[in-house]
Amino acid sequence: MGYPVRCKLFAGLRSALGTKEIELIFPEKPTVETVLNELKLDTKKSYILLRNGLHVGKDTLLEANDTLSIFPLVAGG
Amino acid sequence: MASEKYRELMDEFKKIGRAVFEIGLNNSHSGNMSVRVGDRILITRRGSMLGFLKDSDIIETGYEHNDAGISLASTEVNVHRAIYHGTSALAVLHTHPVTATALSFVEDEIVPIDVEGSYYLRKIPIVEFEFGTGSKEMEKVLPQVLKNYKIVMIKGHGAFAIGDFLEEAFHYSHMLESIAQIIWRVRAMGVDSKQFERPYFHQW
Amino acid sequence: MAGWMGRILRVDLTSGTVKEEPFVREIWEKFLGGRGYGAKVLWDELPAGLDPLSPDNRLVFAVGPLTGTTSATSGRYSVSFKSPLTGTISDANSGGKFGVIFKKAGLDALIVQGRAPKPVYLVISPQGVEIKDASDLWGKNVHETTDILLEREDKRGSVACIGPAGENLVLFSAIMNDKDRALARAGGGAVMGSKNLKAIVASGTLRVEIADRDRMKFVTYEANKWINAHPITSKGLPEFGTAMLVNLMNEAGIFPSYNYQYNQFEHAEDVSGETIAEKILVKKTGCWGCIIQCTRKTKTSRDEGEGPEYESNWSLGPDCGIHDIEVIAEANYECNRLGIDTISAGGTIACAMEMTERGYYDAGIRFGEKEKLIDYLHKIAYRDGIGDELAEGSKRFAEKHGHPELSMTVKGLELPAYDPRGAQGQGLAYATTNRGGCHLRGGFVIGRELLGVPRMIDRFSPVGKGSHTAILADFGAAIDSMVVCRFSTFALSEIVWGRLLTAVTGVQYEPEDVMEVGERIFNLERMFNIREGFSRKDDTLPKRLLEEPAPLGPAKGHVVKLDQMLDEYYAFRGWDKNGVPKPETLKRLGLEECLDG
Repeated sequence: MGYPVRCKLFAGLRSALGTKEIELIFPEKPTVETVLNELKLDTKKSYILLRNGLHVGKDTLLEANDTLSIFPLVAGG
Repeated sequence: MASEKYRELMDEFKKIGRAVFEIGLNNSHSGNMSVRVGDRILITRRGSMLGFLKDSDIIETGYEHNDAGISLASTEVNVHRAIYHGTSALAVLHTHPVTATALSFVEDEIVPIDVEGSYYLRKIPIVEFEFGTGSKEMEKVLPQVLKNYKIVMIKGHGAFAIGDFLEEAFHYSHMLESIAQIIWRVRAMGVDSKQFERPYFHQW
Repeated sequence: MAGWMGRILRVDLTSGTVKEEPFVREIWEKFLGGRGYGAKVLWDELPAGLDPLSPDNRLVFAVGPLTGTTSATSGRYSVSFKSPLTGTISDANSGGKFGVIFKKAGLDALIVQGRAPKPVYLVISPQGVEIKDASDLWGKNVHETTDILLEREDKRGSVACIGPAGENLVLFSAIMNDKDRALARAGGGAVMGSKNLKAIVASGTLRVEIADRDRMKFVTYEANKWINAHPITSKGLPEFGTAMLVNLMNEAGIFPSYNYQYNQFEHAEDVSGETIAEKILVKKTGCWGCIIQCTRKTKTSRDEGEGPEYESNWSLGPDCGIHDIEVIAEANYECNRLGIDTISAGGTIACAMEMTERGYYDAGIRFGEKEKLIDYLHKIAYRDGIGDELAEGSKRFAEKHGHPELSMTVKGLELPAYDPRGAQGQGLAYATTNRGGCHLRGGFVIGRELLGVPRMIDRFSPVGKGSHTAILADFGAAIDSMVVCRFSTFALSEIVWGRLLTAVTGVQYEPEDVMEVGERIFNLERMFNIREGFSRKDDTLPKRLLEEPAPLGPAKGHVVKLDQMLDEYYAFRGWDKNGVPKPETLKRLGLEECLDG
C-alpha cells in the first residue's frame, strides 16, 4: 500500500541531500510540494520539476510510481 | 469567439482574469486584456467580467484590422492594436488599481520606495488624457510611452501593462498597486515617503 | 565620441593596403555594431552568388558601443562573413579578451578582403594595422600560434587565429581567440584560411568614452544587482557550467543521440555536468570582466584545457554514441587546438557513423568508437583520406553518397543538442535561423520551453511559437550587435540594455528601439539570404524530425509541426507566405535599400 514516488535529484541537490535518487512512500497521493517538503528542500526556491519527464508545478498531484526529477534552475549553451 | 486552437491561451485568460479580479485590480466589469499570436489578436469582449470569463467572452480579431465581424471586442481594442503595432508586446493588460489611481492625482510619476517594487519597476510614468476611454489620443500616446516602460498609469483612470505573457503584464500591474499602497500607507502615518526614494529612479 | 571609437579600417590583403573607412554615425546608430554592422557591410558589398572562399568575401571583425565598458558581459567581438558551409550570411561571436583589446586598439570594425599572396598576420593597435609575414606560423596549431605571437608582439595583447583546420579550408573550421574561445559556427576559419590570414594580434590601452557617467553608474549597479540575483547567472552557470543541462534535457526527452536517431541517451549521466564537476573540473573561469564566470578549466588523465560546454559535450559524445567524459574532453581540447567547430565536427562524424552502420557507405567509423574520435578530427583538419570528404560537412558528405536524409542540418549547418520533437518552438527557430541550424541566432526558445525563463510555455504546443521565436531572435540580434553575452539575457531584459546604451552613447535607446534594431538586423540578413536564392523551402528541418516520431520517453510519438508555426512566424514578422519581408515591413524598419534587391 501507499504511494511510492521515485525522486531523482540533480546538480547541487545531490550533495545537499547526499544522494542521486531516493524512493519515498506516501500514505496518500502527494502534491509535488509535499514531496519537496519531505525531502527538506526549500519550497521558496526555484526548481525545474519534471513528472515522468513533463513539466509540473508545485501543486500538481502525483500518482503512485511517478518519477519526479528535481533540478535547481540552471542553463546551457 | 476565438477558435479552439487557442484553447491554452483562453485558459490563460480565465486564470489571469480571475486572479486580477480576486486581488482587486479591477472591479466586476472593468479592465480588459489581450494577446497577440502571429497576425491575430485575442481580446476580452466588451462588458465581460474578467473574473468570470467564458469562452464566448474571448474574441479573435485581426492585427491589421478588426475582422471579428460584430463589434464585440472591448471598447479599447484599438488601443490594444496600437500598442501591438508600436511595440513588440505579445500581451496587454488594462487594470484599474485603486491606490495607484488615487496616487496618480497627486504625483507626476510614481517611484517605488519598497525593495521589491524597486527591483522590478524603477519608475512608472503618468500620462493624462482629455477623454477617458478608447480615444485616438490614447492610441497615439500609449504606444510611445510603452516603448520605454512596461507599465504606464493614466491619471485618474488606470494602468496599461505589456509583456511577452499575460502573466508578465499581470505581475507589473500587481506590483504597481503594491508600490502605491506602500507609499500611501507611509504617508498616512504622517511620514514623507519621498525621503525613501532612490533619487536616480526619477531619471530611469 | 562616446561608446563607439569612430574608427574603421579596411585591409585589402591582395594589394597589402590598409585604409580608413568613413565612420557614418547614422549607420552605427541604426545597426549598433558587431553582427548588425557586419550584416550591413555584407549586404552592401557582396554580390549574389559569390564563392565564399574567393578573395572577394569579407571578414567583418566588429565590436559594439558597449564593448570595453563596465557593462556586464561586454567583453565580446563578432565576425561576419558569407558562409562557405551554408552559402548564407553568417556571423559568430566569442568572448575571452580579444574584443576588449580590439576596442582598446581604437577600432569599431576591421573589414578584411582579398587574398594575401603568402600567409600573413595582422597587428592592430592605435597606430593602425600592420601586415606581417606568417610563413613561420603556417601549420602551427592555435595554442602554439597564440603563444608565439603574444611573445613576439605584445604580452598584454590578444590573439585571434586559425589552426590547421582553417588553413586547410575545412568548411566548419573556427576562428579561435585567447586559445580556447571559439568563434565557431559556419566556417569563419575557412574564410580566413582562404585569405591566407593566419592571425590577428590586437594591442592597445585606449579608453572608451562614456556619454553620461552618472547614469552609467546607476544603470550598471541595477544590472549587476539583477545578475547577482538571478539563479541562473548567479548560481547555475558559475557553479555548474553549461553542461548542467545534460540531465535536464535527457529527463525531458530532448537529448538527441546516435545522430538524432533517438531523443534520449542511456548513458547521459556519464556525460553530465555533475560528472564533469566530479571527474575533470579544475576550476571555473570566465571572459574579461565577466561576473558570471561560466567557463570550466578541466583536466583528464592525459590532457587539459577548457570545456567541454553543453553542445560540444553532446556532439562529440552522445551524438556519436560516446560516453567517456575524458575522451570527449580531450576531443574538445583538440578541436580548440585545431580550430574546429565542435558542433559541426560531432554532427558530421555522427552522420558518417550512421552511414557506415546502415551499410550505405563505409566511412570507417561506427557509433561508440571513441578510440577513433580524435584521429578522425585530425583526418578532417588535415583533409586526410576520408577526412577530405568529411571536411565538407555532413550535408555534402551525405548527399554525395546518396543519403541526404542522414545529415542532421538546416541549410547545411549541423544541428545542436536539443531535439525539437520535444520542443516545437526550438524546431521553428532552427528552421528560420539565417545562418542555418543554430540554437541561438533563431531564438533560444529552449529558455521558455524547458527552463521557464522568464516563464514556461508549453513545449508540445505549436501555437504562439511564431511570435515568441521571432521576439527572441530579434532581441538576440540586438545583443549580438552590442556585443554582449547571451547568458546575460537570462537576467537582463531589453529595458536594461536600452538604459545602458543610452548612458554609454548619449543616443536615446528605448527598450523598443533595442527590439527594433534587432528586428532590422534580422530582416536585413533575411534579405541577403533571399538575394542568394533562399526561400520558404529552405526554412525546413531534416526529414527525420518532420516525419519520424520521437521514439523515447516523454516526447515519444511527436514530430515537429513546422508548417503551421512557419505560417504564424511569417505573419508575425510581416513577411508574405513565402517568407519574404513585405515592402511595408522593410520600410517600417528603415531598410528601403532592400526594396529592389
